[in-house]
Amino acid sequence: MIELRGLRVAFARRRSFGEVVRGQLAPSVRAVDGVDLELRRGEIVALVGESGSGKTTTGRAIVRLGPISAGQILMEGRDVTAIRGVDLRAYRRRVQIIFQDPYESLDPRRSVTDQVAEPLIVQGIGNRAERRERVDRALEEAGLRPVALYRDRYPHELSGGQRQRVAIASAMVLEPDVLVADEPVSMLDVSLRSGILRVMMDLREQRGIGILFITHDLSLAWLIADRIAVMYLGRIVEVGPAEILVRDPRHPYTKALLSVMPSPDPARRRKRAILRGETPDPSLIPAGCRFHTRCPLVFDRCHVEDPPDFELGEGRRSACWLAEGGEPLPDFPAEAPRLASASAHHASAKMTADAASAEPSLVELDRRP
Amino acid sequence: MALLEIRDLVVEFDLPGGRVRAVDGVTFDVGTAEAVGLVGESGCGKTTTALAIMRLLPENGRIAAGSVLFDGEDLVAMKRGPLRRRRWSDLSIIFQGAMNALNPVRRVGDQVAEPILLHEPSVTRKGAWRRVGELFELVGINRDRRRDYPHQFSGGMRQRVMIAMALAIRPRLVIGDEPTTALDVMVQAQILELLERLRAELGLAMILITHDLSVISETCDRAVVMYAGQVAETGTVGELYRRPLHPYTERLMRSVPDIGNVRRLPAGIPGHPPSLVRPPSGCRFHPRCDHAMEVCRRTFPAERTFDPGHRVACHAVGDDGRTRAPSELPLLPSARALADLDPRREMPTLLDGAGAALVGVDGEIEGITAEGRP
Repeated sequence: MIELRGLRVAFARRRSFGEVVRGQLAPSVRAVDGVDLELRRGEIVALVGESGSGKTTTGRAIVRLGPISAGQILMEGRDVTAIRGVDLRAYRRRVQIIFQDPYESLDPRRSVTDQVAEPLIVQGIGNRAERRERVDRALEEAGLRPVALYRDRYPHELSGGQRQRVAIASAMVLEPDVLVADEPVSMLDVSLRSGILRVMMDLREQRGIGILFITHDLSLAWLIADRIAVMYLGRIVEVGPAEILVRDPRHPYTKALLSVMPSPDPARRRKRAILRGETPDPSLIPAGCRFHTRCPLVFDRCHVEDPPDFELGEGRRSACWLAEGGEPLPDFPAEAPRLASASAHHASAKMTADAASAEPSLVELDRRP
Repeated sequence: MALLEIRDLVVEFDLPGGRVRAVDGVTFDVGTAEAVGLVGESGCGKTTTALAIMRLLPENGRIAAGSVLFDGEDLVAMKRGPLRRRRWSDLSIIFQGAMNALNPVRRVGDQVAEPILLHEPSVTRKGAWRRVGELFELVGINRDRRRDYPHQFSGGMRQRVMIAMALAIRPRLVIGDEPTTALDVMVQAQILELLERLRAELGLAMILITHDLSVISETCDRAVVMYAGQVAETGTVGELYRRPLHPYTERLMRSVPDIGNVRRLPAGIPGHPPSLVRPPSGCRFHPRCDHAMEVCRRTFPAERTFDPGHRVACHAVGDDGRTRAPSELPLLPSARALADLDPRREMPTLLDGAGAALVGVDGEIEGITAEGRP
């Protein structure tokens, strides 16, 4: 239904004083750097990545908030990358977004009904009575039942979970075909997340909408998505069906992310592969494979050549030279220089977070008597 | 004797709406070099407990009863002067979002050196600077970065600076209040690994506060599960996972997705934590509990100890240390509806006789009022 082809979003960063003096051009930040992704009708696709990976920028580009530098967005085969005016308004009716923070996305001075009715008014849909009916239906679908109890409330009278339901209702009131949900539950207590996730799964089931679920949490993605796309520094490095990708990751970044997901079962404390350092600045994307500076499986080719997407069957794709032959990834070497520690409880393992620094010596702090 | 012994701690706040008991009779121990997790939903009193231990409560809050024994000495009764000397040097705290607490116009090294100079008058400026270098290397920061300013550090690195600062006077106990909540998963793993390593190398005792049980399962020996200002259950993380006794613990455990295990949307917990201005009667969890009986509404369950160190306060747990199934209990109507609740289906609005708990869809409980309307 929605297809991204080579989507790129670049922001110009302000020039530093030195760059102005030297007459250099403003450096550009390649926030989204060639993303190909498809979202089918009735499908939930999770876009997973750390901050700075470009997942939110991708989501905003899909609903046409923010600039697009190159590439295409297609909806049902039609190019919507540059539509404006009436066309754009019609497009937004079909593609809606909800944001992370239910405390900031609602207007504190407006009642639930007014809030949810606003998109209808903007789009000029229905008369008062019809709007009221659609608002009630949207609230009902978002799980705010009985509707009479919530209709006239104001945001401060609602809990976080209820606010996020109002946000969902305002997105769903237009009966869109696609919903972009940007970290919709990360501000909520774990005990309240299931309710929101269930609403989204029901919407998919009953209305057949496609959902792009943006999250930094791979376990949430695994829980609700049909397919998972893992982003690193502006590019999708691996995509595949959720179960398969989690069981048998084919990109070292996915593999490392999986290894550090905490489990509630202490018996399942796993061998963590903690990558050293942090994701590089998106204005300084490394040459060759963008992950090579942190990859525990890096070899010569990765320094110079950016791997293409390798198709691996079953709808899987990985941008790693090791996936070229279609074989599973090897285990990370125990003493890989880019891993902080080989085992979870290897207490004396040395580590440093400063990618640039040499291995620090651990200084024993003398204990007081 | 444990390093830290908290006994029947009660903390009250004066709010415009009246007096609120944010912490109500909390008891637990932390042994030397032991890591204890404090877990519960937001507003359950985790952070307030930590602040009370440090005696850093805001002005409208006070410790109304109970004791906090550190090495046998009661911090609650202690005068300000000696207390100030114990803070940082005996026990220190890493605050939630602390990485934003650094002064942006001062070098980080000077900021970390400050508590050293304040607490140890015999240490020279040079000596403190050297100690900061050692601390930086200990927490994985290049010592040359002492001269940098906070904006030159990422969030994860700033959090390391805060950990270095918390360790500056060589405390024996560190409290981490959601120390990794705002960080990316990989950085979170780095910080947790660091805390674990420090604990092993320096023999640090630790209290880790988080709403994420899986973080506690990964890093702590024992956990204290709090609900609405009270302790619901305490035990080793293994016991709490394999044999949770309190229905709240059980629900909380099952709320966390376990990647690679069974792929099923967790049931979550219906409703949300109660307001502490007017907490529910009896067991405060009873309106959200699928095991709730008449007695739960009337009296707070006495805490009982089963296997050594496994304590629970719940009426549904029999003297044999087994939690009765809802089908074995004379349930309240609200509990029966919750127990019958098919997590895939919606919940009807519920009215439970006298108190009238109003339950919305998937159990968003609307509060307890006489009229049945919130």
